[in-house]
Order: sequence, then C-alpha cells, then structure tokens
Amino acid sequence: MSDINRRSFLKSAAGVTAGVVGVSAMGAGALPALAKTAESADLADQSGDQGSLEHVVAYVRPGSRHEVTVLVGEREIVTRDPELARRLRRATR
Amino acid sequence: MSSHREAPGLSMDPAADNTDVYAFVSPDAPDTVTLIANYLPFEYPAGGPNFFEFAEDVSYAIHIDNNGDGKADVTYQFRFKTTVANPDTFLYNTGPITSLDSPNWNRRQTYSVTRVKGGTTKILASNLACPPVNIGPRSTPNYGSLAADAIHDLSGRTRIFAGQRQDAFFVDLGSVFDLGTLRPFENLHLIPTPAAAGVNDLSGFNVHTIAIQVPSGMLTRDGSTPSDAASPKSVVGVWASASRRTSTMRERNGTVTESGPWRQVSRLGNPLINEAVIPMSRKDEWNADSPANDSSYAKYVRHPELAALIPVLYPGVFPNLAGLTAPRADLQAILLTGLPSGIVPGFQNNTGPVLADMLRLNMAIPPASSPNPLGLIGGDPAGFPNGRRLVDDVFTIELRAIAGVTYPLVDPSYTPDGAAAVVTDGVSAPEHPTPYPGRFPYLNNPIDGYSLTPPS
Repeated sequence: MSDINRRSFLKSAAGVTAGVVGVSAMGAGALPALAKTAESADLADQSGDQGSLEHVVAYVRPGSRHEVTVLVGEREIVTRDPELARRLRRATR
Repeated sequence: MSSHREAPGLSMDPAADNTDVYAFVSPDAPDTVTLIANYLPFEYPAGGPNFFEFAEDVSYAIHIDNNGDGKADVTYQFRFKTTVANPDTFLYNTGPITSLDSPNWNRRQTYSVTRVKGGTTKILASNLACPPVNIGPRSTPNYGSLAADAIHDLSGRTRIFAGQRQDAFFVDLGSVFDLGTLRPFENLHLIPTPAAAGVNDLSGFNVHTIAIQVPSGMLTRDGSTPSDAASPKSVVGVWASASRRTSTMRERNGTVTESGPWRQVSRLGNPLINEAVIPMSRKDEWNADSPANDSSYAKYVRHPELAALIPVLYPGVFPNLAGLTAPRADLQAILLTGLPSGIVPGFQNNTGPVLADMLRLNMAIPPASSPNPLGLIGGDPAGFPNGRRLVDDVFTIELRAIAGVTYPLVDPSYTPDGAAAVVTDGVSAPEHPTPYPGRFPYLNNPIDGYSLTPPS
C-alpha cells in the first residue's frame, strides 16, 4: 500500500497541519524583588528583558538564613541576601 | 544490568538511564574508534502508542579523558527535539513509514551534536534525523533502509547514529537476582536446584542508542594517531552520562518548564560497577559524581560485597576466595586505573594513578579477527577490559575476576579456586542475528512490536 493510499485510508485519524505549542511567560514579578538588593543588582541587569520570557526560580536551602539560590535559563546565581531570604521564608507562612 | 535501572532514584527516570557503554577500535575501519552509549532500559517493542524515545529535556553525553585525570578532555553532547506533524491524532504514524521524510510519520525526532574540546564548544551538526521506532511490518516495512538513512556522515570522517536498537547486553537477570544463583551451577547453591541452561532476560528488549565513530587521532591528547600500544598516549578513558536541569516546574495546565544548570543524573564507564559494586545508599550519588572523584568509592572495589557473598552462596566451592581478605588491588587496577605494562605481556591500558571509573581503551591495539567474548582473560587484548565490544561477556568476565581469577596478577602466590575460572551465568551473545552486523552502528536493528522476536 502506498503512502498516499494508506494516508487516505486513515484520513479520519488525520488532521490539520502542524501546530506550535506556546510557552507561557512567568517570573516578571520575581525580578523586581531581587533587584531591591544591592547583591542581586547584577542579576537583574543581566536578565534585563529576558525576565519576562524565562522562568526565574528562587529558593532558600533548609537551614540557610543568608543565601538565596536563583535559577534562570541555564544559570545558577547564589546571592547572599539575608533580607530576601527572610522575606521568602515569611511568604511561606 | 549492566547498568539498567541500577540506582533507586534513576530507575524512576528511564529516559536518562544509561544502560551500557561500549568503546572499541572499529573492526571495519581500524583507524577509527566507535563509542556507543545506550539509554532507556527494557524497551518493550510493542509499547505504543507513545513509543520510547529520547527525552528533549535530557542532555546526553559521551566523554573522553586522554590525560588520566578522570576529567573530560573531549565531550560529545547530544540534544533531541521532537516534532509532531499532526496534533489531532493519537497515532505515531498514519500509514507506512517508507522514508525518513514520510508524511505518514507523525512523531519524529531530530538531534544536534556538539563537541566540547579544550574549552571550545562547536556544534558539529544539527537537525539530524533519528529513524522511527520499529513498529511492525505494516508501519515500518523496510526498517533496515530507514535505519541506514539515519546514519549521518559529518566532516572529519565523523559518523553518527541515534535511534532505537536491539539491546546488545546479555545476562541471566532472573537468576543472579534470585540470591545470586547461576543456573548452570545452582546444584551447588546454598539453596540447591538442578543445574539448568542460562536465560538471557534482555533478548526481547530494545534500547535507544547514540553511536559515534571518529578517527582515533581526534581523541588523543596530541592529535596523533595511536600506533604504539606501549604509549600512554594511546589510552583513553570513556564514559557516558545524562543530565537534567536543576529545577522542574509543573504548571496547572500540565506544561513542564525547567531552569538552571544541567545536573548529571546518570553515568556509566565500566559495566556493572554501579550495579553490583556501589552500595544502594550511594548509587544515585555516584551517578551524579565525576570519575575524578571516584577515590571516595574505591573501597567498594577493593572489598567488593560479592567476593564475600560468593563463598557463602556456594558452600565449599570457593575456599581460597573465602580466605582472600586483602584489598583487591587487581580489581582496582582493572577498573579504576587500567593495567600497567608488565602485568599482562604486551598489554597496558593504564591511565595513571587517579582512581576513576572509566572504560579504558588502548586504541593502538588492533581489532581481533576472531574476538574472544572473554576478552583479555580469554587471551584477546582487543576486548574488555580493553574498552568493550558488543560481543564481550562482561558479566562472566567480571564475575570470574571478583571470584579471584585475576588476583594472581598482583599476588602470584594466590591460587584461584578451580570454580573461579569456569563460573558463568551460562548466557552468551544474542543469537539473532549472529554475528553482530560488521558495520556502523554495529548493533542489530530493533525488535519490532508486531512480531516481538529478534529479526533474523
């Protein structure tokens, strides 16, 4: 059976042409919070407009009171920011 | 086995699970080396409609150390992309797939390959086609042709293939995990039953293979083509890995996004080491670690748990092994440094003092015209532990080594038990087809999901 005939045979299962799955944007709200600290100013500058296009993940390791680990793109930035670490923990309450 | 589902955490992540690594001088092109990394253990061939495939969110890599420090000097990275032609069907294909550009093929994968060498990253190729999986005679009627079309020749005599293959590894899993019994010898087991023939429990399964063939001079420290088997420059250490991003976020709508640097979750150099030497509590840690840090695991090689179990499981059969309590310098040399010159006449694959689990290949040793599956202990220096060929019976080789057959290499006064030289699980290389194809990528076409039997 040729490709075309076989495709016709299965046409009920066939559909429209290829689509593109969109990727939602997130993280724009996280960057301003980081930018409030001097230690993280570089991160905000480097991220620039990408902050609206990529996820930004920030986390505080158990037992840490000073360090915030920030993930963006393929980068990891560990910033010493007791105030931000405190605010993130407070946000979990 | 040899590294299928070997670690508790990684066993939950088959797309990143490195099952086997092979490295050998190409038998049909002996100035080149072929490196093979298999992933995705126990692929049931009929496992549709979402058949097995490489993961888009995994970075696959093959690493080469050419100066003995346990760190990669050359790395080939592979990233895959999946394209769905028709999002409104649940079918993998809507008709026979007779070519790699068939409109009937709904879900295809392409990949890029990047070389990292000397701090320089170079994309060697992108948008390379994988073959489809082998579905059956109606969907993939001429699979050999499809697979052949997915072999890509790049510049610099570099040849690449990535796609489904029949698993080349062979072992009697069902027996060895049943309290270490070996069917041909289970009449001698602590819990005896009549002796029986071994069973290859991997014979009905496929894997996903990444194979790359390069001129051997592209892997040496100075770019020279290896010609002197006694030269340290002729030896490279090889391992493969899989890495995932640091963070995974699952959104309410089902989408998954990932961020942060790549973190290694799987690695494999010598077969069966993480499987049967590293204790369960450290297997995932080992997977995330670098060969350069393997000194922290060396105690498990010097005092392997199996060496103590074998005399217990086979009472009275291994009295000399039972009395061997000294650190196993033979196993450390074979697995973590390579054998230096002077141990086995005319052979060496030593990479220096750094203890690192790597598959060490002396590229100046030519391929054997009639390979012995027992490799070096069978008198064939072109086989394991000098690299690893598809035909090498690594389970039996390592079992005999652990049972003491290689200890005289470091202590000539030791006499191995008679059983150490004959013990085996009774399984040999897959018979269909025999022998392995003599051309790249050397592994057999995958078993198709319709017939569920190895192709003849």
